[in-house]
Amino acid sequence: MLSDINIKDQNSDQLLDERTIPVSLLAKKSSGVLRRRKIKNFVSWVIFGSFFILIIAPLIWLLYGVFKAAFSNWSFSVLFHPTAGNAGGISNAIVGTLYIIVGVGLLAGVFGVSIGIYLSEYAGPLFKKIVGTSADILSGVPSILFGFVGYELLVLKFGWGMSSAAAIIVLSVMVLPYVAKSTETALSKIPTSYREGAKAIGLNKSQTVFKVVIRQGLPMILNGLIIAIAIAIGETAPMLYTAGWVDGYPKYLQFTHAPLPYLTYLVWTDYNQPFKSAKILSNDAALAILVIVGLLFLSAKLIVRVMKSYD
Amino acid sequence: MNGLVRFTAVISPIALLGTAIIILIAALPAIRYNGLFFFEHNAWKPGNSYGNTVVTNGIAHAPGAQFGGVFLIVGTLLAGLIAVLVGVPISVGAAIFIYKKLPQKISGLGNFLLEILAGIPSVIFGLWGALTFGPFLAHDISPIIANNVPKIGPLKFLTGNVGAGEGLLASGIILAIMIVPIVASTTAGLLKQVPEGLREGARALGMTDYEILKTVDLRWIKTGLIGSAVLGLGRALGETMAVAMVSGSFLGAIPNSIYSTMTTIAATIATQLDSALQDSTGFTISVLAEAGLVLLVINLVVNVFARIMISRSNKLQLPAG
Repeated sequence: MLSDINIKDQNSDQLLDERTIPVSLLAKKSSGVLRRRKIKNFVSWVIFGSFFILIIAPLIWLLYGVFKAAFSNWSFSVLFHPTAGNAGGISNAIVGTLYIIVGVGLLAGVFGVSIGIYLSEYAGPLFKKIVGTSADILSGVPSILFGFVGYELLVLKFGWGMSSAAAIIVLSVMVLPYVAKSTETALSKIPTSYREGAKAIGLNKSQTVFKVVIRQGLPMILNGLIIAIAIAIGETAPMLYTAGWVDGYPKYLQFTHAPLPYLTYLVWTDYNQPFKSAKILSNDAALAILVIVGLLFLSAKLIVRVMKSYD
Repeated sequence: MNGLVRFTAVISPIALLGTAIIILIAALPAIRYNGLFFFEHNAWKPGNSYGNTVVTNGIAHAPGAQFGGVFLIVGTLLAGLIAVLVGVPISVGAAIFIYKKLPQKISGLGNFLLEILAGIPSVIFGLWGALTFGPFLAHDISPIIANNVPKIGPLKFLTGNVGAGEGLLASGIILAIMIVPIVASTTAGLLKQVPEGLREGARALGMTDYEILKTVDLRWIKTGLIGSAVLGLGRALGETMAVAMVSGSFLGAIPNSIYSTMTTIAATIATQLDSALQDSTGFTISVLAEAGLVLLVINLVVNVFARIMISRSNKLQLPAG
């Protein structure tokens, strides 16, 4: 097939060439080479394009599968009832997941953003390198190991038991490198002229950083923080070791000695139970977690868009 | 203010060191009791939890406790290997397509899809793998491979009973999908660093897009590509929930074909927590810590190597020739 095309093209080239310039053997040969190169070019892009489709297809398949499984047995009552063994609803897990959003938002927010500010505005090159490298490596440590450390240190050593405090601290440490990195990147993109302008009107260093630079970088900082929260609530492995589980609602404002229900636990525990009600819980929890993560992503994008336009 | 900010900056080095130290301390009893047996044998026997506690060399454990972790290490590496073999070429190709071929407007959409893929929780991948993709694989894909591959030499590993969908192949492919975002985004970052002047020069010589890609871009980012592949491997080795749900969680033996049920270190630490808590001596938890320590060491080596390769790629000189 391919060689057929080749020969035909070669002939048409030859016709074209005969009208304009005298055809030498060399020219005929090179036009054939050119065709081959063009075909090679085309084929390579078809292959790369099909790779692109190969990563999009599972994404669509997966989202469709989760939505279909959840909606085929959907009832709104699951949103208003707590879990009862293998049945009931997922409202307690949704509340627990909201706890995580607030807790990780505060903890990782305060510490991660501080680290980012320090790295971007204050740190010397050596210090920056040490902290930056350890943050890079920290971000590659498997999350289950953070869970194990949280279990040994917070749950056992500090005696907090499976609790929201243990879970939130572990998740926050886990996403810390991400928040720090995105903050640093956001601030380093602020033009130097802003800092020079601030200095020119007599602001000192910390006024410059906190009143000028951060204000400009805020949308991107929030964007990074919200995505970090989305990563945190999707985690399961470290939570197994730190959060525990309770069928009822999490205890109000009691952070230790009170286990925390969360959505991903339901997906993991109930997906292969023999009871239909359990499978439904698992599917509903999967849908709920996807919706919450999706909303977080959306709000991150919206914040960047809206806050930029008011500047 | 400055002091407070400076203090927070050392959290990540401290967290890294603390993680290593705490896991090491927790693993000490298991390391002393298991000795080299852990690295030479396959066994997962927590012992009789109703029996009287036995004390060996000062370490309390249930009678009959015996742990050999070779299958854990082999399972982890095999699943990671499949993930890299399948996932890396696809991620690199897709990244090239998104950032070098698609028009700017659609390229943003491609990037957005990668972000979504990165944001999907691993437990959801596990759910999809266990209920949809695994059975599809075992029903529609695996039999074709298993029945047509000749049973010679290492290819034997691709033949045999295809099972019900849980196993090494399913885990590897799910992991391959999960490492796509990190490999693709690292590749994209590398591609952006290729000097535009070189590309323009190649264009002026009359090269096609593919030839520019091959002679300029890929040559420029070669070292970094190895780094991004290894970074992907690091992710695959440490991935927990998806593997726990798709691998079949089979303890105690090395997989004998690509379709066998198996498990990895990370997945075992998650799935064996409940039974480890039944062990009143706490010895099984210590064994999980030992496995975790092995995972941490493998992961640190892999990640440091990857970072070195990627940062080296940024400092590359003009390629000769």
